[in-house]
Amino acid sequence: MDTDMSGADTLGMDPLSGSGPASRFRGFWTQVLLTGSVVVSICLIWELLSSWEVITGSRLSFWPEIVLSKPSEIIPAFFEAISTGFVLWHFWVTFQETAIGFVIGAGGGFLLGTYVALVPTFRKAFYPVIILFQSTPRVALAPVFIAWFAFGIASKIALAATICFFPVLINTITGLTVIDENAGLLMRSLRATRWQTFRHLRLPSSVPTVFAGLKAALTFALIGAIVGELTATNEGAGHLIETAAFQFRSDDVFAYLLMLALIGLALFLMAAWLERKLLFWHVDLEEAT
Amino acid sequence: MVSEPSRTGSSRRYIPGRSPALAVDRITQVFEKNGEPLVALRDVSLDVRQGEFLTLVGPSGCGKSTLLKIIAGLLNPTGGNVYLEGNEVTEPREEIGLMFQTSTLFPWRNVIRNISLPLEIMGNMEPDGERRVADVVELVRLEGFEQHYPRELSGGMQQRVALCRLLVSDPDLMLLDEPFGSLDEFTREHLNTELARIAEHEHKTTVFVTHNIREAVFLSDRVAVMGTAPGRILDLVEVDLPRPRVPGSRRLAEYTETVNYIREVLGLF
Repeated sequence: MDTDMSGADTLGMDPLSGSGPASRFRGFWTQVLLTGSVVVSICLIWELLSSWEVITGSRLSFWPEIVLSKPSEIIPAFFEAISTGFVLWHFWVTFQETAIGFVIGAGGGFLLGTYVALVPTFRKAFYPVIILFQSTPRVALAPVFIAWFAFGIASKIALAATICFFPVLINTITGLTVIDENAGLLMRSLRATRWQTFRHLRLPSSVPTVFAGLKAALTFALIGAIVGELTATNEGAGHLIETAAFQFRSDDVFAYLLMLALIGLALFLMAAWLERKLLFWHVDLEEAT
Repeated sequence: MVSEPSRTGSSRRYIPGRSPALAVDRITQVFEKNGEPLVALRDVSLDVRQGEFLTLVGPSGCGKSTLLKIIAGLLNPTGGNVYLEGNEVTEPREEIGLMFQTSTLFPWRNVIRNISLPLEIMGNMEPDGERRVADVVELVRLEGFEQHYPRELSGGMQQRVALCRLLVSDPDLMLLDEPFGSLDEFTREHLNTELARIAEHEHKTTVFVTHNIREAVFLSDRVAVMGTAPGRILDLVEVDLPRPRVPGSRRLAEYTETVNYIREVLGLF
């Protein structure tokens, strides 16, 4: 009678059993092995098809070298690129545009989202407008921003910020508005003020939704910066790729793309790490990541 | 034994020896459903004595949860009034504590911080908030689980935490809306015993909502049996089981008799 059996039982049994520290470590290496074999297989097939005429002695190749390089040329080009000062400088420009654009866009989205969510009249007035903007392909704004903010870094930041503004805005509104009904009643029964309800209930319960928006925005910011650079510029990774493509340096094009992919992956992993730290309490986290 | 007069449907209103802690006076609640008026409660009157444990039992749709929300001041009735210690209840009050079928714990707070939430909101953490939290943790027997997070706890344990959160602000009136409704039978019986012990210890005026007749009889001093369409009180049944209520109370003839009587009122035989 002194111990609640049901409680003790469930506690002894880890609800996430099978994902303790040891097995999580094992899981990581299994993942590396599986993904690694997929990547290696794709590269092998790619290499094989690229070298078709060499291997078979036939006169036909699947594609010309200048259109698509083979992995055995892309990989050295990649290592050369990451050790070349001016290439790194161009990528640094892109990274700055992405980071500044993300901070401005996501920050603005969160602030406006909070405001819209907390003022019901505002929510009614703004929501249709937000949906309209959300349904517009915002990369189409690239020429407009070039015209407004000129050739330099500002127009790319503006584009990156605009693109990542909306997912954060919409997820902030949703996260702050949709709360557990009984939790709301509980706060009312405790006579909580608007600020207390925001601070203790709405804000913490919005974190998972807001984070989903932030993760999407991070990738979007990079897309925005690159699209801006492809449209008009003389600096940044987008500019490098465009120049290399024009000069038919296919190995460099793919080396740069690989660098961009790794930057995107690094950004995503950073966000996932932060999410784990902040959302340790969230039950769905295991399925979400 | 169940007293004879209360067995008749006509003795709807209890005539108290002392002034009632809670008076529900001719409450009517009409909702709109698909443009049609739906009478959820019609002319419901009820007096709850100081320190009494009263249960509203009835099938779903009898308006028992609606009545509880009205008593809590969370819902303004279409007609009628609620009085707590003679004062009309028109909005939520600090003296009224609430507990739901779902534990409604905040998953980002650990057990201790969930329990102290009402004190934080009401600004009553100082000077003896921590002492008060420790007291209810001991009373509800949650020692050792203070630092756990809700997702690490079973449903039964979560409801214990919710009960602590209800007790910590020391409300004059406790309202419990099917708090054990989603638990399995074993956990439910165990928590019934625990709640009976705590209710006897704290001696607080309590209104408990359930559709489980055995649970209602085991816990209550009186049971208000409710019927549907429109929601109304069919009978007020006095439960003559001796206190303290212990698991063995369920073996007594009065227990079975009262359960059977309520089933009869509800037309379940």
